[in-house]
Amino acid sequence: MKIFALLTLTLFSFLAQAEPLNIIVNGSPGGTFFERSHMYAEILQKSGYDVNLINAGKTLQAANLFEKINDPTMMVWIDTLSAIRPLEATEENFVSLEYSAPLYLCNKNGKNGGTVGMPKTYVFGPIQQIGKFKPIPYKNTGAVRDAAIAKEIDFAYLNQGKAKTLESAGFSCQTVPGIKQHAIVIAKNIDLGKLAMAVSQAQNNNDFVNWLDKRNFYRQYNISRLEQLDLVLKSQDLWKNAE
Amino acid sequence: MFFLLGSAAGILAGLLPGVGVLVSMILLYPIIHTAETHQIILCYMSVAAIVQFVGTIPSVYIGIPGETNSMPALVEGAKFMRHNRSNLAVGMCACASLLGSTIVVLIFIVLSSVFLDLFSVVISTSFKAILFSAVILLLIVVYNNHKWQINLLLIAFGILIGLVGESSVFNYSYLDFGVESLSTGFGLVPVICGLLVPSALFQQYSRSANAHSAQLKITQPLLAMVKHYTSVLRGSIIGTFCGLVPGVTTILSSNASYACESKLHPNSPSKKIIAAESANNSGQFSSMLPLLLFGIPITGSEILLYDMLINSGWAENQFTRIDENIEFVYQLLPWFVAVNLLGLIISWPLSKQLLIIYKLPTHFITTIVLLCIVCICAYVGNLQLQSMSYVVQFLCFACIGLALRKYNLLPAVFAFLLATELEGIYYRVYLFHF
Repeated sequence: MKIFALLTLTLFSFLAQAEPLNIIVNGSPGGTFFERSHMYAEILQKSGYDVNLINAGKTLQAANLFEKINDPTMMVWIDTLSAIRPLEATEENFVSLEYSAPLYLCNKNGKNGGTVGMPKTYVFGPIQQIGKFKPIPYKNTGAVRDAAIAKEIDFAYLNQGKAKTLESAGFSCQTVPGIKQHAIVIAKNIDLGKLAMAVSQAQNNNDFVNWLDKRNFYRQYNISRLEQLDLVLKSQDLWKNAE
Repeated sequence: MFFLLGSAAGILAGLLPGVGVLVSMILLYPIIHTAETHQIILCYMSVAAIVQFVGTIPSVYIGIPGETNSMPALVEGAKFMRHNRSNLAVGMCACASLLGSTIVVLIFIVLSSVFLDLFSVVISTSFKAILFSAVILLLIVVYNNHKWQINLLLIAFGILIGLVGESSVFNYSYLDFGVESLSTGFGLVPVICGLLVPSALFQQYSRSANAHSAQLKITQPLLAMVKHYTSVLRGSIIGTFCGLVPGVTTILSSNASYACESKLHPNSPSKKIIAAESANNSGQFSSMLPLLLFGIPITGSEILLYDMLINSGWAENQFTRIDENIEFVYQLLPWFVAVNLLGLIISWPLSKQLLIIYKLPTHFITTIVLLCIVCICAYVGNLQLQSMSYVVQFLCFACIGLALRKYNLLPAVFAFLLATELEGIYYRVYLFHF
């Protein structure tokens, strides 16, 4: 009986310590948002958080949900979306900068201009300095990659992962100067400093490091959370001001 | 083991509306994500193949689309049911599915050397624009006793509800009227279930579905295959090419083939159901080829599969390994044949065993099925935190479906499925030419 009481007490004290945390999962299964969210969920659960996953599906829905929710909640996000979605990183919600990655312009025919396929969520401004392009919007980067393979566009404007696929199909890709994507973690209704430490530990987990390395994503080592935020805010402004 | 696991998941996915290949793979994820590459592919292939066989069974016997591409089987199956010949329909579907799978393998063997060129044509906007226009034209011409005005209105309705929510080419939403749950559009499950299922159940209310279906000689479906071999061939070829179109794969395969057969043989339910089912299976196999050969997933479930493959050590960029990948697909072929034979056995001789639940009284089944569908809508909606919205959507579309039950609503449903694709395709065609 005593053992049972002790076990019950231990269990309750453990549950009492576990801090509740919602993680909003946006994006499709297999996408980077989806994978990152699930990795954080697994690692943060082990490090003592009582994690509850909320599947939000599309990024617009996730942004709306994040704005509305009143419980402790975190979500992975990317600064490119702040130009078109009602959500951006601020001092009040920023937790951590996860990685940076350039955007690419790929083509196969050596032209200096022409049609450029781009996901509808990207802004056109950054590539206007490179040549004279006519933008053709697609649903996502996967559709842009397919259009490039189908040879219906002269250039493909897409992210690092898809650019690597096109390179292996014989395309030559150049980075788009002056602008990068920054993958970040945001949260609300929670102690941001404490969560930032837990997230930072999660990012140093072997699985996470392997995942980032496999995709050649660049991690910002050795800078403080405020310096990270400064970097993200500047990038966010670039995206928002780009036409 | 992975073969059997995938097959079992495929049976459940085929029997339960709303639980497709993607949901099955998500449920299997904890079990298979640590497996070897070929084991994961084998499991996926088993789920995807079996679901095509089994999805037909509830469509024909009780009027519930087991899969989103089972709608032609649902519509034509009802005609067989009226004559107490559901057994024949199921037998023909199973045989046509097997033949469709066999023909797509033969097409692959013949065309494997030119597959890259073929794929690059099929995924182009111009090809899609021509293909989708042809399908829309067929939808206008062939359904509802060729009453094109009715079909046109149904297609317009389908496109209208399909466009609600976020645009596929612009960063804003259409027709959401500020309602947050509409900003991401109507749900696929409530729309399909609402428009098609209650009206189909209502029409069958006074009929005893499979209980009185005439006894079937084993030779009857086989003879039907011989008699309608042109429909099998046509369905398989259309299915193979439509299966390569990203996003709509088997839905386009079965519906394009069905629409084509409806135009050629409007009064032959046998030919139509055979063509649609052979297209289903051939489309399923061809839809896997872009992923297996080039590492390009073209459906939601393949994106998940791709992720599992990457995590199990598969290289991300497969363009430099196409020859090796073709060899790999050849190695998979015997398993593909085996899973299709298993599918044939499950969906034909054993179909009644799967449907043992439907021996219950019709009113009871109808009530249970409707409740299940409401629960499925709530469950699928809950994944998006929109349970109530999905249930309300289902009820609204069920009312519309019942009100319009004297019409075949397939053109509306198909237009709904393609609406955002159509928007993107025609807008890009406009940009390319003006």
